Amino acid sequence: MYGYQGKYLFVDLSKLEYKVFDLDPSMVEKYLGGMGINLKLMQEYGRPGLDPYSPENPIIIGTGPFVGTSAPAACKTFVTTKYPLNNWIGTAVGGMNFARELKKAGFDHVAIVGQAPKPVYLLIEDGELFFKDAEDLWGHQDIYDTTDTLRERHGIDCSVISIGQAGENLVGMSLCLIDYIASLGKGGLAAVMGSKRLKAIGAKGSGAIRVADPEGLLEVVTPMAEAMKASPIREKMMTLGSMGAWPHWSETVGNPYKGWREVFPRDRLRERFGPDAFLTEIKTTKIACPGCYMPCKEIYDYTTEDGVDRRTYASSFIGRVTAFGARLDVGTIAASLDCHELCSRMGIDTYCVSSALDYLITLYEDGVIGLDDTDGFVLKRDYPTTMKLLEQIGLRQGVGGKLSDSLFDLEKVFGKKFEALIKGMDYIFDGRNNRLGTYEFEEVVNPRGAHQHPGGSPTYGSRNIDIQQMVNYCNAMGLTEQEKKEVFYRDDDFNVARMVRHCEEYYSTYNITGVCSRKITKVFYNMDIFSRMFACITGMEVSPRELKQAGERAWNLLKLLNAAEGASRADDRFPDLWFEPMHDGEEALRFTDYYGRKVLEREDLDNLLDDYYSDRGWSKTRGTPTVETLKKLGLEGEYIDLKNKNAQLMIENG
Amino acid sequence: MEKLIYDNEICIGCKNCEMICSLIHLADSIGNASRMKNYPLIDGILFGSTFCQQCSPAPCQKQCEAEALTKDEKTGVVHLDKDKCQKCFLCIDACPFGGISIPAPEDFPIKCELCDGDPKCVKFCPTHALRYGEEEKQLTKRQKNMAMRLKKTYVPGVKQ
Repeated sequence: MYGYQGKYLFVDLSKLEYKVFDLDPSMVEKYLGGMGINLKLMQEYGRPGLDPYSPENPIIIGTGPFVGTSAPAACKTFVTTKYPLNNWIGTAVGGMNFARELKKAGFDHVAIVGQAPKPVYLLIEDGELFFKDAEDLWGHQDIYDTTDTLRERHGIDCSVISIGQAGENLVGMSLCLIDYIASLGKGGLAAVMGSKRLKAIGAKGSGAIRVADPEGLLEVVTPMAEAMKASPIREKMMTLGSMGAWPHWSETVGNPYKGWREVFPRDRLRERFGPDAFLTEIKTTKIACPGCYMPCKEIYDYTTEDGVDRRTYASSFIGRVTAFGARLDVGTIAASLDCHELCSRMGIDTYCVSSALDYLITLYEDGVIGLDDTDGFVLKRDYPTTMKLLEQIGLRQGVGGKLSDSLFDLEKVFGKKFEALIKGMDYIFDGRNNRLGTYEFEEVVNPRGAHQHPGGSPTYGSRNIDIQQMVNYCNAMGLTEQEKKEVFYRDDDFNVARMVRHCEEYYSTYNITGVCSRKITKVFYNMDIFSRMFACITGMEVSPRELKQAGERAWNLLKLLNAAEGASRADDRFPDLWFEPMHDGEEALRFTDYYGRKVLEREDLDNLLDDYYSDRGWSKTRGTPTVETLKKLGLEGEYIDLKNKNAQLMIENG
Repeated sequence: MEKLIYDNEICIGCKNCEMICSLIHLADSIGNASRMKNYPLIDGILFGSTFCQQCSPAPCQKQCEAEALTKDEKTGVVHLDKDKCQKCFLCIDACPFGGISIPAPEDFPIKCELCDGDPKCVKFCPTHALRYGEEEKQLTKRQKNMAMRLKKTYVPGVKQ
């Protein structure tokens, strides 16, 4: 096989045994790879209704056929499991070296089930898998230390996915890091690994990745590489990195806090965390994932307030500003990097935890909880409080420890609901300060929870995007003239719901092939390039339309898997909070359409959801695929299997 | 004489050099069959690469009894003649900079020959960390020290 290694590992941690299976060629033809094959393996190895912490809940790891071939930015690792933060099935995506090393080791995918009798880590190397004792790491080493240890033991080219204390302690908002830096598994992947007593996975290989037509691939890649090298986006990434987004992110839309009812004062944030401070206060080194020309990852060397020199790593600095500078008002860049470092070491999702701590501290500020509830701990928006609460969450101690499970039922604990959640997951983009772009709509309809990324479009980072740019993006996504007519229902507007459906399918193409879907990469790809590259790499002729349909198939399977978990239209609910004003200085921000022309009522959103479901061929009442749609996509077998495993799964006929 | 120059301080570790090198020279084994190897995060130094320094005199050439390695005095390139190679692999040990390796699943050595004066790794390097031109003495010295350290701890691509 070209592009694929043609094999996957099945690992049973309970028995400490593994098997190597060939990838079924008909499965490859149908699902094409990455997220597609991951979801198929999830349907085969999983069962609806499993507790995420049950040994039977599979962890499916995947790569894509483009990974490691020199296709620009093709580096992604995909992990599908049932996530404990909100009990939905999703596929997480992470960068750095793991996918490429896994392929060099001879495998496209890994399916892991069971629970090890005692802590272990896995080493996957050149066609073999080794179960390694991790008792010396468990409870002793955080993510950075564990990654160091595995690299010392197995070589500096060993790529490492590791969990920290939060994963060991089954914290819902835990995640893993790949090679110190790339986050993987928002929603508790680390806790699922922790429940399996799986501390880390290392991969390294010296094997070959082969492509069908090297010369053809070089012909496609060369102009892309030249364009990326010459791009002003790359120049910006080399200096400001993610802080290039500052004008939109922090100035135009601003950062909500205080229970998402206020926007953090912009001048205060700019002075302490703005681009000037970023460029002068810390030393930043840029890093790119393998195959990428746009270094979005960074290493920060900084000095703490106590005068200690420290190093930490992240994918986007501006996220550290949002999480710790604005939401928790920790005061300085060094303080926010300290908070980030602690989260990285323990394996805690910085966005999720800062949102949860904002909720907790707001309760305290509003007098909903008091010293009796916090064991005498005064909760303030500052650095020491944040650090202490982060540690409490990771170690399940004190008042912070009450946030360590799921977030959707905290009303029972604290007497007031955590409102800034969708499907039990925190969201980044709020409809009031961002308005209703594709990201905000995606947060609501994503089966996995409020994960905005599949809704990628030019509405990100821009307030009043020219409609022509949206049309151009639809051309890149491979929409037909008819589809474009439906999206652009008038000259100066687009239907966000109908647009999102295509964004999700385009996103799936990236996740099937293994290419990074960040905006900075996306501008150099389009459906035609994907199709040409697919032929050069795999030798399989797959038209842009067929690729799009493979994306549609993967997205429908994701929805079907969650329908079998009980997902319905009621879960795709815009937060009540978005219908209340958000205070931005003197101004009250309202939830409007993307161009800010109309304040939205729930009825408007119900209509948009109707559009979304009907475009998808899903039942408007249930919000899930119909039998007819599943048939069209060749998913009847998958439906029957899930129905056999869970008789409660109800799918409408027409 | 023009040389391949690597500045690890502006390298972003993207490994495009590795992947393009193997795609062009030995496409059956992308990533592994690279004449240029890039390593991340060693002892607090962020990136390092190993590749042939086209030495004169070349220690690898000295070890090669089959005379498969020859130096082109005009271009400065040390060429490896695959047909003459006896696969004794002494050249791999002889090179202090980890510049020669064997790409699995093959069993012959490979080394950088500067793509006939147009190194493709330079073309695809996003940051100009790789350059081709007049020797930059300080960088060459730094590169050699780094490569020797890498060679000591990790010999790329060699399967005994």
